[in-house]
This record gives sequence, C-alpha cells and structure tokens, in this order.
Amino acid sequence: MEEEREIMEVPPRYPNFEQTAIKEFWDALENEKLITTRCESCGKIEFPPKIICTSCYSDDMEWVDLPLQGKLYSFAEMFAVPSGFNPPITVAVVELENGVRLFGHVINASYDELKVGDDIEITFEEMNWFDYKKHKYFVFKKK
Amino acid sequence: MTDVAIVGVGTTKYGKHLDKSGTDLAQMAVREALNDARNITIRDIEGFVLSSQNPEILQKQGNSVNHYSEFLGIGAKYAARVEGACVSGTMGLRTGYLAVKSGMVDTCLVVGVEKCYELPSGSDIMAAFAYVIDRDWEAAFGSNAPMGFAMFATRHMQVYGTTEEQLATISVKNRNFASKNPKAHLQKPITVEDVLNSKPVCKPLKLLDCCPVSDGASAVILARGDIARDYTDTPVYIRGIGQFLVPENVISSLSDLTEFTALKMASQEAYRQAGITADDVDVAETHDCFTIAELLEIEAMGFCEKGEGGRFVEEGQTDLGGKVAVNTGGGLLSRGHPIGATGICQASIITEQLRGDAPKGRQVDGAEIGLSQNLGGWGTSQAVVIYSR
Repeated sequence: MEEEREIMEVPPRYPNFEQTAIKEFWDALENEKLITTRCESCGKIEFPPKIICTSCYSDDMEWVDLPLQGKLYSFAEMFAVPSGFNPPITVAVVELENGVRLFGHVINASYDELKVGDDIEITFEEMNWFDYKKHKYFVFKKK
Repeated sequence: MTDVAIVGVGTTKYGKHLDKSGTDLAQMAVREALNDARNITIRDIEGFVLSSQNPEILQKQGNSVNHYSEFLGIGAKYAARVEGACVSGTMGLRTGYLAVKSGMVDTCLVVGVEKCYELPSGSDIMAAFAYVIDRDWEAAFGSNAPMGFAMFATRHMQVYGTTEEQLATISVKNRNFASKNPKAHLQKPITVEDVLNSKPVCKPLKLLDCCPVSDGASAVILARGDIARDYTDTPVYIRGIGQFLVPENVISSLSDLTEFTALKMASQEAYRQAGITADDVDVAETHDCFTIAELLEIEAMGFCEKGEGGRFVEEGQTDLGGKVAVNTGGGLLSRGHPIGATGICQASIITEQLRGDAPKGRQVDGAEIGLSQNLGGWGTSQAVVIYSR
C-alpha cells in the first residue's frame, strides 16, 4: 500500500483454555513448562500438539517436555502489527535441540542485533489473548 | 482427453474501485472476455467457476457462486466456488480446466474477483486477510502476511548473501512494466533508492517490497480444443497444470525457509505434463506478493540455481531481453493483488503475450511458451500453468 498503513485489528477469537483436548499444554504453560505430543507408536514429536499422529494416525499420544534451548532459524521485525501489540515487535522461528521449531516473540533483541544461528533460551511471559485475559506463553531470549 | 484452450480473456483495472461492487467488477471483466471471444454469449457457456478468497468476511456474503451467477446472468450445468487464499485464482482455473478436459462441459467461464475497499478502514481489510493465517499458533501472536515472507527473506539473505538492493531491483523492474499497463494499480516508475528508503513494514521488507491491496476482477473463457477456433482465431492452449500442497501452514512448521518446496514439485509436474523444461519458458507471470517471493520462485522453478536468484535478477535475466521475462504485467507488486482474481489475471496476461498483443516495452518478441505461477499460504500451496499457441 502506498497510502498510510494503519494498525491492523485482528478479529477477536475466543479460545477456550479449559474445554480443549490439549488443556494440558495450556496448563503446563501457566507453570512455565513447555510440552508437546509424541506418538508412542512411531515416535514422531510434533508442534503444535495433536490428538492423533499425522504420520501413522495412531491416537496413542503422550505428553513430553520440550528442551528450553535452541538456535535462531529465522527472524523478522514487525512495524505494522495488530491492535494489542506495541510495534516494533521482533519475531522468530527457533529450532530446539531436538529439531522441533517454534514461532514466537524475541523479547530482548531487535532485528539488527540478531543473526541466524544465535543461541536462544525459552522463557515465559504473560501475553494478551483475545479472551481479554492474560495467559502465559513461551518467548525467546537471545543469550 | 480433449485439449483445453483459452478463447477469451478480460480484466478490470486493478486498484481502488470505491463506486463498484464485487459483482460490478465481475460483470466488467466477463463483458470484456465475451467481447474478446466471438460467437459466444453468456447463455452459451456451460460451466461456471468463481474464485474469491473472502466474500464471507469482506462482503458478509455467503453462497457466493450463486450470488455472482445472478449478477453475471450465467446458468451453468457445472458450478463451483474455489478458495485457497492467494492461489484461489489458479485453483479455480484448474477446476474449470478439469471440467472441460473431462468432457463434463464444452465451455467454462472462470471468474476471479476480490472487492477489498468496502470495509470501513484499512485495519478492517488487513483484519480480513489475517483470517488466512493459523489463528491459534501464529496469528494470535501478531503474524501477518509481510511477516511470513520477511522470515524467508532474512534466512535467504543470511544463508546466500542475497541483498536488499537485489530484492529492490525486482520491485523496480515490475513497476517499469506496470508503467506500460494502464490496468495496473501502481504505474509511477520507482528507483532502487525509492524502495530502500521506503518505510519498514517488516524488516527486512519495506513498503515498496510489498504488493498493494487492490479491488479487481479477471475472467477467462475456456473451451474444448476441437471447438476453440469457433470462438477465436488465436486460441491459447493450457499444456499443463501442476499443483502441490505441503502439510505445513504455521510458519515454524515449514521445512525450509530458503525455498518454496511445494513450488519445486508443482513446476516439475507442470513441465512434465507440457513436455518442456524451465529453459523453454519465454515469459512468466509469477506471484510476487513480496519481492522475496519472486526471487524464491525463479529459483524453485529452475530459471536459476538455488541461492543464485539475487545475482540473476541483478543481471537483468528476468527483464525483457534476459533469459526469461518475469511479470511483464507489473506483477502483484505493481499490477495489484485482488486475491481471488490474481491467478486469472496472470492467465490473461500470458494469453496477451502469446498472441503477440502486449504493448512495446512489455511484449516478449516471439514468445511461444508462457507460464503462470500462483501461491497460497507461506508458499506452501502452489500452482503452475504452462501455455502455448
């Protein structure tokens, strides 16, 4: 757009953090733990967590801890952001030690201070959600 | 099975059409397509495919295929509405193509349309587009379209040394083509400095690395190959359509942020069907929603090696006189991107090129094989069409 960009209003959405098949995931975050599902049949670990394995379609899924260390896979710094966020926000894809990749906010560095491969630590912060409550979610910290 | 030909094309100007509805725009595009063909009226067409990404949110209008059928005056024995975010247009073209190819219908109208400037504000329009991103695992944290493509740009720049200047040359080239396309949304020529100095939208992408939000409609009339000359002296045949969708949607789930993996698959399938290689393509309309997208596309489709895209565009290999002319209509970057219409417009621009009807400064001399490429999601849903006379 050549005209002035305006703040983007993301339409409200009301996830139910209580009545969900992956309630354990949200509960773990409140306790500053990051978990996801592993298929007990074929061993596939994936994120986001799922109730059925996308590879072998087994429904024998177990919760496992994810490592809280990883490396920066890619990143960007957003200047046009939805309401509820203060620009600019640095966002990243981080690859954990076990190969699982996560998307989230980088809380202690801007674009020019980062490079692919940087060591990242996962921590937890309260974030605004569309239910107008704060919930803890994982964030990235450059080491 | 029968060949399938394009026998008529039409497109509105892309831009802000504050006094036109989506159905007005669709009528204008279809009228032009009917006039472009001969011996055919709206009542003669047997099939109807509508590609529109978001009428439910932009217009609060469901059942859009029936809604549009009334305003277009088309009765059809085969009808479908196709939605796949930004690749809706080519998914629609392929749906119409299959209807004709299978013998279900002899002729099919494919219309792509998006009417964005109807909601009260720019924020509302951007909000409507945010619906296409995974809401729970990505959009909830502020993701929008520039962000996903910026992630590709960052990694490509860091792994292969691609520069912001190289990306800017893509925007400059496409704007130069658009300056000779009266239907383009943005037509004023720009320089590399203009791109580099435009304000950051999502680093490393700046405003002039991004396509505008546009209203517009485009239409093509498809016919069985053996009756195509009843409707035109210059049928353009669809020689292959490759499509590939990978099971990845959240940005962190993509297997490789330095390439469009799905496009490698889709283009190879299209080349195989058409019996050609990348070297045979004379003119290509690609999905340059952001400058980095065009760079990833020329690499994935094999116009140059992976990682070499920056140097390739810098050398002018994607301009007129280069190895393959890319986005001679101005691309999404300058022609505009009315979401559902884009893939259909690409088909109309390639048709114009293969007929030799593009104006000086845009026409590729002696163009024989054309290609259009359209994507959805983070390049995770791809479609490639090969055309020839």
